[in-house]
Amino acid sequence: MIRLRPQHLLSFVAIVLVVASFIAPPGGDEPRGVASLFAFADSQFSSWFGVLAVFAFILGGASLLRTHGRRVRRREGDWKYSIVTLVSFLVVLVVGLGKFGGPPGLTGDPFSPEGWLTRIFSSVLSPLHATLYSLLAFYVASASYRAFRIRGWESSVLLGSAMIVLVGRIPSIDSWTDTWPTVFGFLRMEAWSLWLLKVPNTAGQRAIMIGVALGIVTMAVRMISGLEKGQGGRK
Amino acid sequence: MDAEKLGSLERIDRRWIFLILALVVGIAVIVEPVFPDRAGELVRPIFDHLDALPAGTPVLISLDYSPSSAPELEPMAAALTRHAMIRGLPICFISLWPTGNNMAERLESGVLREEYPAAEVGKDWVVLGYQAGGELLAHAVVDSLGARFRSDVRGVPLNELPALTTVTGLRDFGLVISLSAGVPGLKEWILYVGDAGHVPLAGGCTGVGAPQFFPYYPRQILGLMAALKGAAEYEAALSARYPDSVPATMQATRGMGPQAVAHLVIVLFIVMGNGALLWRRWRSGRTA
Repeated sequence: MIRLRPQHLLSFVAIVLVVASFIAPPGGDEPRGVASLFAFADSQFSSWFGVLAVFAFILGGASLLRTHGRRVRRREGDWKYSIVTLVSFLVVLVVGLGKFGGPPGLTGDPFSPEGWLTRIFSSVLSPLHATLYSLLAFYVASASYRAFRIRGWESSVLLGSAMIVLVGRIPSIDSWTDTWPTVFGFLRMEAWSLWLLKVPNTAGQRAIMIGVALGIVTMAVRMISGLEKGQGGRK
Repeated sequence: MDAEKLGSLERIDRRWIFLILALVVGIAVIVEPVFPDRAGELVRPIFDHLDALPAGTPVLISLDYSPSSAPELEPMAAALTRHAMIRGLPICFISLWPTGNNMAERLESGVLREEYPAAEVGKDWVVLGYQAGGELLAHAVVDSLGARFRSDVRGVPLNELPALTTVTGLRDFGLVISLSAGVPGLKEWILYVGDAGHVPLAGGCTGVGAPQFFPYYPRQILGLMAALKGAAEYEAALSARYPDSVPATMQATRGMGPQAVAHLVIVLFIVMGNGALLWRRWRSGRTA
């Protein structure tokens, strides 16, 4: 008798999903015959993934409580920050689950404007996110000043590209350059900026994407065939 | 200029850079300089596509961002929302990010209820909101929204929402737009919905994320709104086409003033640093 192992489940699901992708009718037409069976399985597996993802949240929450709880108990380094993490986590969890201030019940919207969760979001999370992100502008300015220097030909190319993109993204620049005589058309920074993004950038990005995709295909084949032993907790 | 002064231009203390940038941007925020813009090659196709849809065609906007990237992406969502309301296109908001429901709530209170008081939730817009699953959530609803969504965030069943009466799956939307700040986001919509499901797709993204989406344009995405400038370009197209139906100066156009000034300050610092470097090299070459 064949004993069902996680590897068999992984291989079966992966093969079904790969086949479903390859035999799907082009142009988004309604699949027929065997293709409809695979399309149905594809849709069901995608939905089941959502259920699994919900359980992952529970695991994540439990892991957070365990890790930070242990750090506080043992007074490990930066344990005071762990208290902040635990208190924030529990407060938001209780407020969200209890739907305080908003419509109650299972179908009540936890994100209603009058709910406490929305208030926490707009009064705490939003300003904190905005503050941290806005600091980037200062670091970018300082880093640009230091990094973009004519040290060699590579750094000069980097500097030139950065300057073209920076200047090309300034609004109204195309309105100004529209008034230039045609003979100076080659100096239009916004056209150079777009060219840099559309041609050299696309070429580089595609090269990276194809390389990464080939790596993913290789890894997927190894996982499906059982050659890859790292997943599923196996050593 | 003596060598010591020149050296100081090459090594300006970063605190001076921070201070000057803060001052300049602060002044620009107060003065609010407005630089007129216009829709470029990447933004124009999105605007034209939405503008050509027959009234009543639903569009889907996925709010895949959080407050940290809202300054860049929220103006895009607001501009798209205004355009859809003017054109009479019902909007369906969903999100692959847990913060998406709150971002939708901000749009509802900041744009929809304030600027379009006659518009009704359920009829002119619906919020299906966030569900776990990331890219596979998007993939699961290509054929049927009901596969993952039973109701909107208020608990109203899908079949009781007039905005979605013509919708079964994502192919029934006139356009699907992902406003994306990371993963899962626009890339996942392209791979799992646009390509796999043959769904018309467009996107908006942050400035740092933009380069990775150029390989998909124009065959896999209709257009791309890149960063605040992309949003400002969309607003410019909207103002030019419907000058009486939108606010005179919108969020992204206002934001572009301080951003442009900050860009110029950064450019000046770079020029200054390199000027001093070249001058020093020239001087040392002459004395050698």
